[in-house]
Amino acid sequence: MRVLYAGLGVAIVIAVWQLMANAIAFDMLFPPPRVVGASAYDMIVSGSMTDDVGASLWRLLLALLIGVPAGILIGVAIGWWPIANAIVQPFIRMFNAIPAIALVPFSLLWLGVTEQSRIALLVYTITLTVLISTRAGVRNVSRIKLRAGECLGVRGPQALFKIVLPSCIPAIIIGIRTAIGLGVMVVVAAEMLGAESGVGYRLMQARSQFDTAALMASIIGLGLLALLLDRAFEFAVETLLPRYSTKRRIK
Amino acid sequence: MLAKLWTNFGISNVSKSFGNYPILDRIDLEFNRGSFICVLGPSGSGKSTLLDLIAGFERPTSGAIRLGLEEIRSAGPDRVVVFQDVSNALFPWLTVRENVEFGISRLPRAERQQRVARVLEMVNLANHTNKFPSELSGGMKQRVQIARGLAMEPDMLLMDEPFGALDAITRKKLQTDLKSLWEETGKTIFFVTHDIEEALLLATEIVVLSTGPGARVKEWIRRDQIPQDPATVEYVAMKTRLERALDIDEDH
Amino acid sequence: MSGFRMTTLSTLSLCSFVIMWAIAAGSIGRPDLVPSPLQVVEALKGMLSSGEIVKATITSLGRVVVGYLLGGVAGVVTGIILGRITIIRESFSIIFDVAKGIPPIALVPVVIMWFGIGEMSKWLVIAYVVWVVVTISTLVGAKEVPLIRLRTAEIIGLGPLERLYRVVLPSVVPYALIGLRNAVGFAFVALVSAELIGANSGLGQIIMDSRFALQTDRMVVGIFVLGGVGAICQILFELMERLILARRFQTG
Repeated sequence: MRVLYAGLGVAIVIAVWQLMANAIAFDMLFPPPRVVGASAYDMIVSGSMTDDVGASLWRLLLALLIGVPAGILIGVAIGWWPIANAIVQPFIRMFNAIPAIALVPFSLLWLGVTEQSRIALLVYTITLTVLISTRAGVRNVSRIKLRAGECLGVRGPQALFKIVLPSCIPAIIIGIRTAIGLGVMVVVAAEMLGAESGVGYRLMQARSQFDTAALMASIIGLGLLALLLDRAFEFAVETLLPRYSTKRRIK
Repeated sequence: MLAKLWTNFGISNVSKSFGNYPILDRIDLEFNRGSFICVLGPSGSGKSTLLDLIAGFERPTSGAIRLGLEEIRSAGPDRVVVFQDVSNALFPWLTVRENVEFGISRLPRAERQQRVARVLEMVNLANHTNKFPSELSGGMKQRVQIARGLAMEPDMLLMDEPFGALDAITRKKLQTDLKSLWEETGKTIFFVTHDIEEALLLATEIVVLSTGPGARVKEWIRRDQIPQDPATVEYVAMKTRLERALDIDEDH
Repeated sequence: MSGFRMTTLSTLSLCSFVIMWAIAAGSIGRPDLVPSPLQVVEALKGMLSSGEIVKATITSLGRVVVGYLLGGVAGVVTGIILGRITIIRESFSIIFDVAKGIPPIALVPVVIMWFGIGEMSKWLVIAYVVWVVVTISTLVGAKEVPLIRLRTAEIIGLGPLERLYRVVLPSVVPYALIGLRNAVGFAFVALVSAELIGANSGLGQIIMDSRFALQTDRMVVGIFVLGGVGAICQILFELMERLILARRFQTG
């Protein structure tokens, strides 16, 4: 039933799109669904989509591998030690107010149009996001849990590993999920402003060739990709860490 | 106006199921106007479903509920509901006064104000008219809900475990206040609870439903059978009888 | 540890960072890449006295305000429609799931192609992002208007229109506010995206131009002003929430 409704929604959107394209009657500027579909098909068949998505995803993955552990580590540290938090707090506030995309030109200036520049910016975004979520998780561990632990003889650093860390895993999971979403945005921005591969690069190529169909296909593709990544992450958490599932479980 | 003429309230042979799942099975009851009816039952027995049917939120699968000769087909201002969920029942964006006025906004201003003042006086909230629900305790919120209902001058108050979420002392206070309110106004009250002592204190009629699915009337205790004095053998015997009917030790 | 000592520590930490930055800038000796804090202040002074930074800020802020208002209003309306009408929600939720994942910056080229490099393109990109964010959170609120509030409306006999603006709309406010609050940040992300790519004025253009001119000091000023304006908007929004709406619509 749900699939049927979703299909209906997609069909309506495509129909409206087709009607608009008919009304505008200028395929170069506003291509109908069929042309965009053909463009997407070309990208898939020629392998350029695989290459672009692969390049972007590779950057994202690499940055996640560095940024997530870093974010957790710093987040736990400053969540646990008020002094560390007081030292880092003003910087977190400051950087949190600045959209990561605004830093793309900065990273290009310092590191040039290089792989390092893109990865560095991604790592920065992911670390900051995971760190903030983790810190909140550590701070929100209920006192009752800690006291229960104390009664059972768990205290000090032991409490950190046995009570605090497991308690803030859901917060960390949410942080990573947000970071993946932001990561897609930042990687595309970084690629659009200076790269020679990736989805963002493809977008800029299509733009300079006035290839509206490729632009639209890439935009829809990006939305689907982000959705797919989000669902894949959710699925991975549900299967690998069922006890930390964020979904409500009904017995 | 016709609805106001009824003298008895009948639930005739009412069954209710959701899909293939039976909730209530051939419930047959009749009460006089002005009764205080308490419905007891284990959780999941369909007490609240029965209340929803009387309120008109749901329609029976078979059978009928009538006020006098008129069958209940939809919700209406003659049967107001006091819900258990205090935090959602009131409108948090309205003050106490505005909440009580909510259902009578079409009345002329002077009459509206008079009614609001009167019902807030009745529930002892005259000094809190300009507060927001978030500034009130759970007991006070329930008083506002009762006042909101009374302001509409209904024939019947339907109360779905209204004191279930309150602490013991507040509950006691609200029970006695509700009882005098009932004596004062003579409204018919249909009160769902799982607290036997509450039922014994308040009710003129006690109905016990059996464990679902397909709950039936297990006990129906009339006015003259309900002992009033807790310090009597009759009271204890009645309490035991109700406890048995409720299968309180079902886990063993 | 006391709040005062915390603040002291934070201030000390910030000061030592500036000092370290100054030392690092001095020892690297590449002011075009690593300007000293003083240089940045000088750049800011110059940009202030020429009026350039004020003009850019006003331009950018104007874009955010227009785009935000367009997207916000559209988001609340869409959210309520999707939330209250199941068939529409089931049909279009997948579209919104996909839309949510589209980076605003990816829209910029195509929007410029359609609407030119003028203000309209910026407004639309910002409005789009705000629209999606606000729709999703409003939808949740509209879908989950507590049943008992709708039932209260049913008892009173409110018509569909009255129910919408007396029960549904106010119930949705806290949820819409969450979306609107988050959308402030997203609006600035969209603004920068639009200004970095289709730059002809605004803070984004200052940042982008200084990259090609190797004027890192100006870039740092641009970034800080952007972050500052964003933070101020965020604070103003929260202030407005607390002052005007807190009592009626607590949002925690």
